[in-house]
Amino acid sequence: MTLPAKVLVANRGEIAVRIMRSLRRLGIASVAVYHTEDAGGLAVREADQAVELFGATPVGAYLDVAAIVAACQATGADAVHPGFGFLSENAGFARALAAAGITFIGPPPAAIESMGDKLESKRLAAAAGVPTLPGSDGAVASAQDAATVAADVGYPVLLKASAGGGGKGMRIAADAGALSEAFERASSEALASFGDGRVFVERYIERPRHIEVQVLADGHGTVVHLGERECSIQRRYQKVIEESPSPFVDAETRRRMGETAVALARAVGYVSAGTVELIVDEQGDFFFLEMNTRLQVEHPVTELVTGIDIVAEQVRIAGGEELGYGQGEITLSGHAIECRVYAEDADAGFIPATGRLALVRFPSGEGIRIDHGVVEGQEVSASFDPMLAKLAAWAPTRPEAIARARGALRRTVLLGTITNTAFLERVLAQPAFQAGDTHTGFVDEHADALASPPVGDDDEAEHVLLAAAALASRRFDQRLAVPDPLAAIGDWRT
Amino acid sequence: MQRLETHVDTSSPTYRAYRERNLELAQELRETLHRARHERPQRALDRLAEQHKLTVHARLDLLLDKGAPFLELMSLAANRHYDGEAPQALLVTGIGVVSGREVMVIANDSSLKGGAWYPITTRKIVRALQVARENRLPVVHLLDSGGANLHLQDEIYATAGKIFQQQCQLSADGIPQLAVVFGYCTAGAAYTPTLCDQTIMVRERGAIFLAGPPLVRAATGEDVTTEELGGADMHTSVSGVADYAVDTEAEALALARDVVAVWARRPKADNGDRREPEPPFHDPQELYGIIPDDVRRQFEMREVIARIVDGSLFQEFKPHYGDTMVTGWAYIWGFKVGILGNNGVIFSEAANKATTFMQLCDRDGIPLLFLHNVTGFMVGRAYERNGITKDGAKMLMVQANVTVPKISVLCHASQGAGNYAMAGRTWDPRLVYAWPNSRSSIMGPEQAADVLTQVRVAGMQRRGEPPTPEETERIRTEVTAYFAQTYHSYYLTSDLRDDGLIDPTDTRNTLGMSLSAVLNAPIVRAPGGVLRI
Amino acid sequence: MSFEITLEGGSAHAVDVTRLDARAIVTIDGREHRGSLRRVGDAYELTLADRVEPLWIVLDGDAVHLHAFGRAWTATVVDPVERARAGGPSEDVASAPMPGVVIIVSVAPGDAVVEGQGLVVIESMKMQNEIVAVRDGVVDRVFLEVGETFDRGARLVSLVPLPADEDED
Repeated sequence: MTLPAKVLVANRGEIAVRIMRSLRRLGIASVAVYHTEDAGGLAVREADQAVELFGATPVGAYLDVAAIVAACQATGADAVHPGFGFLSENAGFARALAAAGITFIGPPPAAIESMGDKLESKRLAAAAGVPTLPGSDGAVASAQDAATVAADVGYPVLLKASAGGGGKGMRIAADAGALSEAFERASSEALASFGDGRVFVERYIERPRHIEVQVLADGHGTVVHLGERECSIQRRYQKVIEESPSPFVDAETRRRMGETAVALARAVGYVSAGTVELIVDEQGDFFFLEMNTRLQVEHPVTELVTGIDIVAEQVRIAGGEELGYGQGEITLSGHAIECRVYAEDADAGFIPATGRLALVRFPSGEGIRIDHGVVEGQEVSASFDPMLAKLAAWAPTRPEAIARARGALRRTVLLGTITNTAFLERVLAQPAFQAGDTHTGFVDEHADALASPPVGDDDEAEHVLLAAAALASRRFDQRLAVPDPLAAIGDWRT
Repeated sequence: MQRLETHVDTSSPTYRAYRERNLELAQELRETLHRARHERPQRALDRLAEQHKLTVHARLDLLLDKGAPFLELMSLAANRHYDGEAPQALLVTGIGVVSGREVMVIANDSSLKGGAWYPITTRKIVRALQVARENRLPVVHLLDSGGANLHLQDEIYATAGKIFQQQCQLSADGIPQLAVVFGYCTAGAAYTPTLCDQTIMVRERGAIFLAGPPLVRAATGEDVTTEELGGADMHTSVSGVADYAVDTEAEALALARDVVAVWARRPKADNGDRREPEPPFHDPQELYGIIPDDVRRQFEMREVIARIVDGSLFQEFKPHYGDTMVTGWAYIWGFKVGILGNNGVIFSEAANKATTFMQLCDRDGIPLLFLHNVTGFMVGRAYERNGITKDGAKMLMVQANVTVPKISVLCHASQGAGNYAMAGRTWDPRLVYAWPNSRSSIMGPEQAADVLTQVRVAGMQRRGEPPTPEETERIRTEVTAYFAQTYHSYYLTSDLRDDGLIDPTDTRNTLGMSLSAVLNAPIVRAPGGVLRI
Repeated sequence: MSFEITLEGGSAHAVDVTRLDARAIVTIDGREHRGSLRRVGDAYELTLADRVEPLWIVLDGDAVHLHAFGRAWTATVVDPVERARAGGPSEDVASAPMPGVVIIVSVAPGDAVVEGQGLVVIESMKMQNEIVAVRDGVVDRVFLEVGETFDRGARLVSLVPLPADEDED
């Protein structure tokens, strides 16, 4: 096998742009697909070719397997990179491509499928010797069964939708009394959200950390890990700040986590880049959460500390190449932090914001990496995920990386919609964050400190803003200003 | 230009005595103004509130630009007339800034007597329109008047027509006018809004008609409502007499600001030939200690100039000649101005110096400022022989015919022909102000008392009835009392002999606004050389 | 010129600008500053008294988006006189607090509603929100149908305005 000659990127926004960057480096032509809302986007501009997709909804366009296969055939693309989201974990898509003789840059469909089911993946992980959270063996049939399992693993327990994600169909039961209702709620919510009411029971970890291990596996039996990423800073069950390495993980833990992840990858015959997500309790014990069989949003932090281009490795692996290095040759250097810049209002429950990005200025500087797909003047619509960019900072030490990230966030100018840059900077400024005292409830725990300080707290700053607004406003007509010297005489009456 | 030196000793007993007296006068002025503007019986204010009307001052606040000055003119009009029942002649007028444009505002005060016109009201409107016309100031009329006070109709009728004639002339001169109708404009007053370029009416309260419903009923038997007869909706949608109908006074004034915003802002006559303004180097508050406590006492006018002009800088012309007249150039709020100030009685040399100076300023297009402290031209054999009247006549001739704007301030005494020579009220300076301590009359009260007593005593003696010393003293007292009333600054300002009494420390701002206003009219110089006389 | 400016949806500040260019006098809530706004490349520099702040500015209707002090701000500039003319902010229109899609429309024009009564249900980011009447009244218009998407601030339902003089005798 050889590297593909032309890769269609079945995605949009910053990740499409980022994938094309690696393709270009590898000397591979790129094809973008786009919905009309993204026609003016950066991905379309960066690609060598672009094919428009049509769909009932903008998101639907990017989920149209047949149209994407047809686009490959029309453009002669011999491989597809799915990015993340959309079709990236759709085994049917991978099979459809294979049927058309097109390479899917990702793991084999079987691995996608086995890891895609929460219960199935948990079973496989346990079999591979990965610690899993004590709980039901598969879905529980009734509240009664749930109670039996819960009594066994000990309260509090988490009831979790089998098909779930994003916090839907999840309930915590603090004690036996609360279990029955929690079961019913989780089950009905799961049914409503996913059409699948199955729920399983797990021990609930308090103040858990979310730590994940990046693995790379080639088709020749080499499996390595690229260290961990801590992704505990979340809001709405979505990561917003990720870093590598985790301030919580020491070399020994890293080795154990890595070996565990590699073992699981081997067990499922994994090929390509994948991520084993772990939940880590306050004692440092870790448990299998799930395996993501795709590129992760937060992969840049790993790239920054390892120097490895994960996308390029995915393409090389898909092309049948050997990794060419082993675990011993992978070193982690320095510290990297990524902040996800979203169009959202952090002070209003992180509701997504829309608007026209009238002014876009990303910072640059030593150790700063910006992954983005926005163009000045573009509309941020409610059609897609509101992530605008990823701002990553690398530095020799964690405090320096935090400082660089804060500086870069402050210099990130995105005007025309509401973004979370100030919120992100406040997170980085928290003493608890700086001390590495993080867990997935961090944002809620520090909600007060993370709220925007009232504008009026700094009178001087407020006056600067008000004065600038007045002088810049379209309402300010120089010709209607009081002429001199009458203005200088001021508010005077005889 | 050189900085004027001061010779004022602020620790001297004289300074302190003068200061005390003038601070009292300033306080009295403030209080009098406050009373005239704001003190109204509660029922009058309640009545306004019932009618959903704002006070005239609240209307002005909504109309005028914030942070901009308002130079109210003739604010104590009628203050010593009509037993004080028509404070400010129930009219507020002045030069203000609306949407960045200098405008003349003429606003009825309907808090008393329904804002009725008194004779002084009509004269005040005529004067305001004259100021507007001479200085090309657009006019905003805020109309809310019950019309002429019919008890005084003869005096009113004698001047009221001039209002409408001037409105027509303003229009012909290309000066915009806007009317906002808050109340009734009946009969002749109906022409004020109708003669404006644009008219805004407030629904339900504003009305324009030649005769109101009662008169119509009496005349024709027709029974109509005010709204039908002359309301905002009728006039803006049927008759076309007015242009905009609005629901509230606030809305009307907001709209007025937008109307004014479209008016042109024209370059001023000095073409921007100005200096960056700078406060006087010497403290204007010291004026209180410089102006004497008696109109007969002399003081140095240069000390006043030093406390009015930018940086106390003064380019004095002929400093060693005709020393009872101080002449020279200075800047006030950045505007170049030629100043003539008296240091007492005018001698021939002083008159000639003034005449030449006025010719110089006229040639160069520099506005003239007259600072009065003059008791007249010098009398006596030597002066008459020397032709003092001829020199006075030259000064009058040139002063009357210069084309540059003239502004006068009565700082102290302003008497006899000296007042004329210094562009007193009757010589039509563009604007004229007076300090509360000032006194103005045909001659000084003592001289007048002397003259009149002598005449009366001589007459009695001719009839063989020589007066007793007591009778002589009584005559003297009568004459003095008459003078004391009629040459007093409050009386004069009440009768509109000036455009307003001002606190001496307000002089600089008043003049800055005045100079800004007068320079709106182009200065067209008549040909002619400057004579060294 | 007078403005009423709200910053980040806070309370309104009275701002007057009474001079021009480099010598502008900006009075904010009665406090006077000397200030000027200067373009520097595609950014701006505001001088206020002795303070010099670099900033980025974008105008969007009456909104002024600013980037200063390391973050973005939104100021809304209103002409107070104009607002007076408009009769103040209206409570007659229920508008969308966030972008989304209409799920349920509970009222039709002509319906009488009481304060707190649900008008429409909208969904955004899988969250459903009920938009309720802020006062008693009668529905005038329903602007969107079920399934329609909208942006933040979109008008959803309007009530028949109250007579302006209702409180008069």
